[in-house]
Amino acid sequence: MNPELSCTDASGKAAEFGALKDGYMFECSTGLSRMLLSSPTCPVLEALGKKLSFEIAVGLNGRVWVNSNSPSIVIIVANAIMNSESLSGVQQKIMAEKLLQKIQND
Amino acid sequence: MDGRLANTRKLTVNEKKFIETALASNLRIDGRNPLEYRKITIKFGREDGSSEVQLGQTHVMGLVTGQLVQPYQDRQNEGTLSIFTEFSPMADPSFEPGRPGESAVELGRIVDRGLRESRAVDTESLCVLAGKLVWAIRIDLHILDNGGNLVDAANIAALASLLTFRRPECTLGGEDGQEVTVHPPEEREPLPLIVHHLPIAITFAFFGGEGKMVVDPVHSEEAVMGGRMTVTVNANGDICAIQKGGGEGVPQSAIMHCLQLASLSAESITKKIKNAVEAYNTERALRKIKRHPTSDAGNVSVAALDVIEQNKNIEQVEGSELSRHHLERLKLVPEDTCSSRGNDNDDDTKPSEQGGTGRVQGNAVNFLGGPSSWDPYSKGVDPDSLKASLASRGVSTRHMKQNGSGENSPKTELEKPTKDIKLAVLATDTSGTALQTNGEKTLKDAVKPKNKRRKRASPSMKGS
Repeated sequence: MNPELSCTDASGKAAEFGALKDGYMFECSTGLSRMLLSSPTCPVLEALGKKLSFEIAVGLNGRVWVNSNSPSIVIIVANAIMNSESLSGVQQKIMAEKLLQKIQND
Repeated sequence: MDGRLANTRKLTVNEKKFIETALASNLRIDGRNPLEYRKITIKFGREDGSSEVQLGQTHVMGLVTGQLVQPYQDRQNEGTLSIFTEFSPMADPSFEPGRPGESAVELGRIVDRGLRESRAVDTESLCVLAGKLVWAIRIDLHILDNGGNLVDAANIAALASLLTFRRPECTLGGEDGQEVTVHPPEEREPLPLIVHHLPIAITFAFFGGEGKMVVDPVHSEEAVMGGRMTVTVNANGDICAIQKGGGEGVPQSAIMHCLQLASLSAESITKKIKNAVEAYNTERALRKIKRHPTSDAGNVSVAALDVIEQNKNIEQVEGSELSRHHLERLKLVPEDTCSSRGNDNDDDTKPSEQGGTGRVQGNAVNFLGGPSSWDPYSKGVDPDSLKASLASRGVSTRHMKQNGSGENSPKTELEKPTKDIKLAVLATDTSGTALQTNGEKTLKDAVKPKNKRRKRASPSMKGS
């Protein structure tokens, strides 16, 4: 069985999302995925979104899919999200900014 | 076996594709370079010969024990070395309890070959009575968490345990020199094993057939890789063992390249292991000093501490800062000093008390393991009193230490915290745990402090 990743709206239709191609899917806890989906935007996503451009789809089952033009951005985003598992809002922002700084310096 | 196969990590096509795409641009999913090792943390337990190694998410525990047995027929004057691996089901869903699986056997074999074939551990020194009694060294490796690259982590754990293991000293006696007496550790200091060199295992993972190679694969990389190779080298550049089991083929040039990379990594890992072991040994020596139950030990420990202070001031300050700042974890000081010594450099805040803190370290050390001569005014209660006083009035303890540093006798230190000691004793009923020696305690001392206490307590309070 070869499952296919697909993103649909509540009624099951593609509605602009459709099949998720490429990118990287990883698992996180369901609590973290709820936080990523919360509004206002979760601090880590906000901090990352200011500097990087990427696509992200978060499932309530704890699966997160990230895609971007270059694999390095995908890796940065994935690691930042995985690291923010146990951090508070402020800590997440600091962690994300430190990570971005490190990348820019390289 | 079915359970193992059923529970192995399901590899998604998406993940496989992404890991390979990232590798094409020399990126790994945890952000490392292809040739970068994860962070290694080595900790030791209270027992000699127990170690805990963390390589990123991978967590392995090693334990070395020794037993006197009859030697093998064909090696009458050599000890034996055996390795047992335990792949705990809590490490990975695919690990089942009971008979070791293929990877468990392979891991044990790689570690064993690295140590045995290269003669890293001197087995002839393990002989007690040729042909009759030799030491059988047993290494137990417990896998606690599988984050990838178990072989390397297990190897480091085995080496760290071997270096810190101490075996009891044996002497031959009797009329014909055939009687063997095994001296308990209290009688004679146990001896370390003779380890000539440290064979370090470095694992390489190969991908995709284009010769993409990474060092120290993570769990997901291991699921994707096409083939793996483990090279065991030591810091001198000697190749102790090479293991390439199955998987895709690797050209000879790649193998030579791997060997060169391995010897570079081996040097840095050897240094890390040696530093950790040295820190442990220093801490162990400090702990050992207060083992003596006699009253002289009170002065001996003080004098010895002063000597040690001069020789290893840095260690002392670090250790004592630890004991000052983390009084709740006093009991864990021996284990924690090794790993957190480096961390505590950031916590140095009171350089002015270097003299006094030396004494406090002595107190903390004494408290940890002294013989049970319960004395309410003994130094050993200091940590409790410090805890109590820190809670009520942190200032007074600092002053106590400063005063205590001026003198050489343990008496004056006690005068300070006696009030706190009394409180601690009454409140917590610390019988037996605290202890030890002071030697210069007399009834007069017991009485004096009460009067002095009131006088001194106020100036110290005011002085704050």
